[in-house]
Amino acid sequence: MKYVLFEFRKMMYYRKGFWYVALFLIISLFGLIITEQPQNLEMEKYWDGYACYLEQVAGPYSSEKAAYIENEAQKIAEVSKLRDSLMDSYYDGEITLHELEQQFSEQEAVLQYHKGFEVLYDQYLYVCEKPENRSFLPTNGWSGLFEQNVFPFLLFLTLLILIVPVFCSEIGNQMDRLICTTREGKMIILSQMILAGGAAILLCLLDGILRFLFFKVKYGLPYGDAPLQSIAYFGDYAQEVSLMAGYWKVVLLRCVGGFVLSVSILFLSILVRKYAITLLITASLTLLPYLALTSNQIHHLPHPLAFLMPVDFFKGTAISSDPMTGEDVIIFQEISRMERYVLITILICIAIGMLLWLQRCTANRWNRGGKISRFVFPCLLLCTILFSGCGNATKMKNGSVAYNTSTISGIPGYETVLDEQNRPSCLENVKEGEIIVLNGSPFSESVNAGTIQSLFCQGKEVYYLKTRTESYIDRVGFYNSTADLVSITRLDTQTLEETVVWEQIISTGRTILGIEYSVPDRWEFLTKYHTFFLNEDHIFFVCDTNIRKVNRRTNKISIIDIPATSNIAFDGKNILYLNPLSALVRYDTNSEEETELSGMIAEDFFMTEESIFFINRLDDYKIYTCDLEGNNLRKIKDIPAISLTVEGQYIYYIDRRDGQRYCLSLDTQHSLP
Amino acid sequence: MKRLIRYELSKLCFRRAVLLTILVFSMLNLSKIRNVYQSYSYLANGTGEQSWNTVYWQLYPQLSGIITGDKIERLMKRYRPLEEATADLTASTALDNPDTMTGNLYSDCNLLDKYYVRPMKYFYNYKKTAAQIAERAKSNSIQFQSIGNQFEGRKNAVIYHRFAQREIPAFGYTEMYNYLVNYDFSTVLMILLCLYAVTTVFVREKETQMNLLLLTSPGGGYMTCAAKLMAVSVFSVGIAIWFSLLDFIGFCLAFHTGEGGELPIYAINNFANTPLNMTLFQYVLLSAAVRALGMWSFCMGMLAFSMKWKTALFPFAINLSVLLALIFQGASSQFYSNIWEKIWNPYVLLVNRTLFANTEFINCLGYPVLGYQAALILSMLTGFLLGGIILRCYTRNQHHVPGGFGCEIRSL
Repeated sequence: MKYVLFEFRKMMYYRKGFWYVALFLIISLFGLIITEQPQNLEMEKYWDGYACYLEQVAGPYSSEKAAYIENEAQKIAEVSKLRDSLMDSYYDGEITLHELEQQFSEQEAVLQYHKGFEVLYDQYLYVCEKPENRSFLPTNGWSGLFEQNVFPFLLFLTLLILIVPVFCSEIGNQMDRLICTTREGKMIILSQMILAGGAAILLCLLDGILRFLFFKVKYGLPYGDAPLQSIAYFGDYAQEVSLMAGYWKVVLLRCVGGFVLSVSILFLSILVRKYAITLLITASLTLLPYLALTSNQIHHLPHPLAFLMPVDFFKGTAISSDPMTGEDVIIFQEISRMERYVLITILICIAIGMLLWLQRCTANRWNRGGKISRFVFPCLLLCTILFSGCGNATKMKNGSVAYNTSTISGIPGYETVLDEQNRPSCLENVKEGEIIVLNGSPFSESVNAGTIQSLFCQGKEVYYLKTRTESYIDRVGFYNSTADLVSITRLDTQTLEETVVWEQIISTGRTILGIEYSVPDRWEFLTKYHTFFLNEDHIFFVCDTNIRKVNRRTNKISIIDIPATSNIAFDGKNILYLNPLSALVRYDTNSEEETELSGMIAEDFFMTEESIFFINRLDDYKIYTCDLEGNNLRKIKDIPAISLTVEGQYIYYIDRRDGQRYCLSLDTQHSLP
Repeated sequence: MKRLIRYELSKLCFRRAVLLTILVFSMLNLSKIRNVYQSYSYLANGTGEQSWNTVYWQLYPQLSGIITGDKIERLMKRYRPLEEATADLTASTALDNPDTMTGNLYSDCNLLDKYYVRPMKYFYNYKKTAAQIAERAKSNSIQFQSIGNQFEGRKNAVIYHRFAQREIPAFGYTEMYNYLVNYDFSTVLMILLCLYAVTTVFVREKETQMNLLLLTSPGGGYMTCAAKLMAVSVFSVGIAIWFSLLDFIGFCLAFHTGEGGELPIYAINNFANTPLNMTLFQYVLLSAAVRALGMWSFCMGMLAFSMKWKTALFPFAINLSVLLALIFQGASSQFYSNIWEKIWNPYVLLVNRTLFANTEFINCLGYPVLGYQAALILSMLTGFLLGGIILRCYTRNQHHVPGGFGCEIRSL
């Protein structure tokens, strides 16, 4: 025991092992704090509503719960429809405000948390696919806890720094031979081996506990006894295991991997007797399989690497079909429990074999204490630079913004011309015939050039969003190299210079060096947004049910609860939209506060740089105008309209009576078809 | 000095461990290349009479070479009936159809489409694509110069000159070269090998305390350091060239062909916008040279980081961390447009398709400099700067002091 304590002091105190472990834990914690984002953003945003409904259905699937959810869905749909018709009745004067408010207060109980219900309904659809082993529960904490299966480089590096000097330092100053000549040298060697193995296990345990505590504090981690398959990543896993048990099994497997790795390092130290070659062989034996083999291959081998990334031991089988040959390609074959035990047994046997060999190498010597020379090293570990997805966040130039999603954005004096696929291709000055080509790069016509999807204009600057795909292996399977990239480019219409201001990869397989560059699902909305607008700090993507706000510097995503059911306007700082009650609301993107513009109940609206034009619901759908603060209401025309847009001095509206489109001149007040 | 360099070189690479590592890594590299062929290529399905491999090479002599109307006609005569027959997915799925080349109609159609029709279409249309790029560049250049934007004007002029009159006149097999230029595993092996060999250059002297003894010798200070730098340079360049050669030979052997070397580099789809005008084989040579420069730059960095340590543990760990950080940074920025994020990192010279696949420029005092040129210059400057720092920081001695023997050791 005293030798173990002595070696422990050597490792942790004299060789500063304690500081390395502390640094590892601190960096891991900071990495989690800085980079961790919830996988399901809607669940986080609408937590109150989701939790309210979850109370009723939490746990395993049952037909009663399914019936409850379906009933609630139907109820919400009916009430929403009823609300719309009540609003119409009120605006038409058929019911009083008191009656309306009374009805609304009755319906409030149903609609109060409907956003949260939508999140639960998505989860219900997932659970229905395999109801026998999926449960309803809040998934963000557990999804984050079972992190993406990346190589734990920081853990590996810390293990190298802790374990390699155990024997190599003795060998380096030839103390090993001296120790072996002493009577109790065998005990010292044994205690070093125990300590190395113990340190590896402890490090893996501490890492596991740290992650658990972090996610427990942040998300709570409830329903730990629910099946692991409730998390989408493990959805197809065939065996039964609970979330809590699954996580601690993952930690245990990582401890096994760490232990075997430490024994391998000790074995190599004695075998090659040099620091450098020990490090090289350890790094090669760990990193090369990670880069050369697929996850499927790695996890079917008795290799410590598989156990350092143990999450995939609980992943289900994934099969894809090759369209060229018609064959089924197994992307990942699930590892059965028996196979897992066999792999662990083989690995442990190999480790025991190595330990026995180490014992044999260092047997039959006397023990003699010696003063080990102290190595004093200044030590700083460099952190891995996280890949960045941000482009340049340059200052927005002067120029007021009046962006409306209901019309295709353009700069003053120019029309946006669409190509045959209805995508913006250039801006044309109708008076002078000047054309400004979007994506004016000479390579815009070549392969992989990408396509422009949408446009946003601010003053003399045009921002266009382009998507493109890069790939060099077009074979189905785990070895594809496709990367779909979304980029926003700023075109200065004065100088015609183009600068990419933001880029993000939205999906990819293996890219370079075989390192799996997996992109979180939270960028998936970039495949199905409608349009975008931006300011100096954020980019706003208008999706079906909300607006995703992306911070240009940090790429942090948040959700703004504004659905794309009608026009949304943006003035550089505020978003104007019609709420479900047809009231015009201003949302301040900095303070995140909403202000209803009083007296403005609109069927549709359009914002210009000086004023707001809207179809007044309170005056039989007549066209009105007001200033940007909602004051100085003034009727423009006594004609009922369905929708309107404004271009320069003309209002284009669809007449409610005949459904035709008209053009109203603001100067002459004359309407023309 | 020459003897010193030779001696340092033999210390560096003629060690059993290093030679064994080179041998083992070479074997690993070859087996990985074989695995690439088996995994990626559809022609790796054996040598049976109806295998894609056999059928493809049977058709190859008839369709390869200068693209003529006759060849296109011959190809489409085979392909169109198959395309029509399989268009509505109701054709026979029998695997022993005697009227087919591979035994199955869909298989025939897919083979012709993937390996002949689509590539030939790309080759044939490239002339028009390149002409469009050149034309657009020319009009952009005129437009920018008329509004006073000299940089954009010059940049588009460069693009015009590089893309004018480009064409791919002949059809050939590009699959081998495509996977060769996209192959990265040997880069990892080179990095690990050099990491091991180079990290120990200064560290070994301190481990054995030869560093103090060296200082008592006339050539033990500056000259030894310079010799070490030269030896590391020769070693890193040698390793890079060795693995590049091994890659090329490995791919030729694995794919059973060296066809395609005479095609222009833009015959590979992902290099459609490359600024280079050379053949694929020439590109392979260029790539090897650029890799050697990148490896040299990395080795200078590794040497600089390992100078101060007495054991190999921390230099190895720190160098490995820095290398992996640079690799992650390089890998993550490879698809992005910000050229500055790429060119400062010597890693892009090791995986140099990142630089050569697209025509990108940086603005150097109003003059456009191609991305790869800037990366090469930056890497060279970085390498020389690091070499200079190493020489400056290396412990020196002073000999031949006037008036007698004197040895003043200055240590940091």
